[in-house]
Amino acid sequence: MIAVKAKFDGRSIKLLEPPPSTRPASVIVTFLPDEDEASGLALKEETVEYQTPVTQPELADLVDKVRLVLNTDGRPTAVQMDIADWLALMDWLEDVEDIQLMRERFRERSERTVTKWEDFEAELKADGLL
Amino acid sequence: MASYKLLIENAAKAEVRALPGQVRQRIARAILTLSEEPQPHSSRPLEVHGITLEARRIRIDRWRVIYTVDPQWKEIVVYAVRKRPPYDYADLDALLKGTE
Repeated sequence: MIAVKAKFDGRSIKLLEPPPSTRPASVIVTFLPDEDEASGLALKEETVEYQTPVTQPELADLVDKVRLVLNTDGRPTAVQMDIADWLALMDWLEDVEDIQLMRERFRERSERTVTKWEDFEAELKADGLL
Repeated sequence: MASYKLLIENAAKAEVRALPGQVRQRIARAILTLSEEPQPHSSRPLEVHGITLEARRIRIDRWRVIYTVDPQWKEIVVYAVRKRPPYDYADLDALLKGTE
């Protein structure tokens, strides 16, 4: 498990620690509150824990490459990112979801919760679904 | 190579039933193929801690099938059939705070 601290300064999210050279199995990212609470841009302190095959350097690259769209007051109103980065982020979310789902269902698994595929196939055919 | 026994989790059964008709046919064929080839090139391993079996995912268009391979008992269990993004990430908070 690797803990990483990051800070949102109103313009971008910065990792406060150098990314590890090894590929982590799981990472904790802690977003620290902005010291300038009056800016209204501070994020609450939050710990996000996830397991991912995406390495932290890749994650750091992703958040660093995000471009913020500012309004006339200079406040960020939107973000832009490259489509390749977006797809990488979607892949990562997909991994997180699949891994979590897999763990939950594996934990709850018993002989009563599984069916032979051929029996299920027969059920589908009987119901006109296959 | 001897065929693997195919099993499906009940939760995944509901997901297969809910698929659009043509997609259901394709997914069913893909799952059936796994019994002869549990690790096709289009699949990839998932690093799931706490599970000794090999967890894998295979994509079929915008859908994905999540399953485990047990080479000792020659058994494959399908755990989930999910749609690929973009989809509703209303559960994002719970997702990221996943429990061990």
